[in-house]
Amino acid sequence: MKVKPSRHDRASFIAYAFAIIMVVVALSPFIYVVLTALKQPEQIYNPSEIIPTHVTLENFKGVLFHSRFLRYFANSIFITLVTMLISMVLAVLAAYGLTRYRLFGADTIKLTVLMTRMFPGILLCLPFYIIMKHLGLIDSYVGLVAMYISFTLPFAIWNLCATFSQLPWELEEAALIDGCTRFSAFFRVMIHVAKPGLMVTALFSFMNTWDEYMFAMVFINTTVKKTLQVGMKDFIGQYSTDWGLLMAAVTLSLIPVFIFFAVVQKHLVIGLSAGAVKG
Amino acid sequence: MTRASSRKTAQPGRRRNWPGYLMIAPAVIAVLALNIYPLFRGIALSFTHYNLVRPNTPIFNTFAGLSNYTKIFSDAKFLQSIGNTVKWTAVNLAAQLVFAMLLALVLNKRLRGRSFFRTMSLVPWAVPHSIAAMTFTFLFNANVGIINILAVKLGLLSEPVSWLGNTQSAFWCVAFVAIWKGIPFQMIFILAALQAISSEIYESAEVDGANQWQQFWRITLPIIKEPLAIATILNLIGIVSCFNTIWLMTEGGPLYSSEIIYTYAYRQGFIVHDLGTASAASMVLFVIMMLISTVYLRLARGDRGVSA
Repeated sequence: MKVKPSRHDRASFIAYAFAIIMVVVALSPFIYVVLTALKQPEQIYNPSEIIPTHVTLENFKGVLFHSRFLRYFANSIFITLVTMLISMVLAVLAAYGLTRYRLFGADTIKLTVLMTRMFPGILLCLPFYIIMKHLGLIDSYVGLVAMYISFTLPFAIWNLCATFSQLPWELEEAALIDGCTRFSAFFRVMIHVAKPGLMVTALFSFMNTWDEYMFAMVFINTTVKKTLQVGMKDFIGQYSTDWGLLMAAVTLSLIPVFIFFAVVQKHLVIGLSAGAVKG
Repeated sequence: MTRASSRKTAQPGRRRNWPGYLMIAPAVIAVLALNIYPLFRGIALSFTHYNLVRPNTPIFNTFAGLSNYTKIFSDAKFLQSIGNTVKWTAVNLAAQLVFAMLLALVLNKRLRGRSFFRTMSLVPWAVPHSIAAMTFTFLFNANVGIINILAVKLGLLSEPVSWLGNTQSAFWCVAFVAIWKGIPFQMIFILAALQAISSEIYESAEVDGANQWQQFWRITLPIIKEPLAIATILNLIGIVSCFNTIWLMTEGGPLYSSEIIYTYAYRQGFIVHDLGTASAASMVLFVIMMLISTVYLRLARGDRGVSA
């Protein structure tokens, strides 16, 4: 341990310094965002003082009560949860089937799913425009959720296949012998072991859908149907922007992401490494 | 290691297979309808006249041969966007890889407050792209942006600069945001790989007198090579299709200086309303992605086969 303390001290000093710098770079934009959201307009436009001296909640009130923010927020939550739910159900079933049964064409399916992860969004966005127009699903959440599933589902299947193939299935066998059905063996026993992988897969579906901008911008025209990411543009004027309002909206929009992230992040390294390392 | 046991439990004769087919059916149908069919529709579209501005001309929705492709390859803006894509990818990848590697190595050490550092350094990843883009647009703003204020205060600039309105700087500012946002994703994968290495290897290397530099190049890097390559290629795909950040900050401008193939295809499709040439451009991007993903598959499969 204490062979060469000076070298170790220097190394750990550099390590701390680097970690602190990276965290500061990661966080400082948002600290400044929150500070701006708390400022009065005069102070934002005369920004030689970085810290607000007259803290005000006017910007937050403006966003919550005098804009369509809450409407957009509810739209986004609805779309995100529906997308996440459908892709998780489909992916759990598929991954269970692919890892627990010997199916004809299973390898082809896995390969196809892997390939679809390489599709750039714009590649599908263009034909989707024509397809959705034919089906009359432009400006409809049914169409939007379907398109979102096109990119959340392949990732979910892939990551859950990797997760499930690493589980101790002897537990399930034991439950089956104890008289459980396959269904109850899975939902009573296996679901607990698979939790990190399931949580991380759900997190990715959530984040990818919540984050999505291009499809929502192209396919949703009605103002009240807009998602939050697109609706944020309301706060950006063509000639001038009310930065205080925009920054308050940014602050509020980050709340659900951070809550979900905080719940799931401790599973992140384990849950992801299955998919990455096992490939 | 669990492969052997899963093989053992999946004995053929003992189990009926039809529930398995039933289970995968919905997902297979969804992937066919939502990924595979649109892909082929897109390929067809790139060989079709489909200019929505002129839907009543006789050639609308007819076979176009290669004309969409010859059109884009004779468009200087498209050629510029290919160059920008290469530059964009190289800059992003190099910077993200170096910083992610350093950060992962540091966060794998026994630091006090390590879990705090880990969680906090993941914040840029959790933030939606569009929110990050709006935030940095604010920070780079010529009148109210903190970057100009600080630079002027510290005497680095004599007067505020319109960072995003300038062909010299716009590309680099957008790239900075993409790098800032991309580091954590790459870092998590490297960290996961690092955590699988047992500390005994390093202890014995220390006994043999290997310094940290040697340990990294001789021990760490060879062990994490495969997961690192996979994470890098996954990240690469995100970088090439980084639409939101670019579009929200500069819309590919000024003067197409930050236009990549992806934004070019979007512009052709939904601003110019020519879905034919837009599809052709997205096909070019797709072919590049497929070349990359072939490499990815090789690495992901290793010698274990796809079923791993």
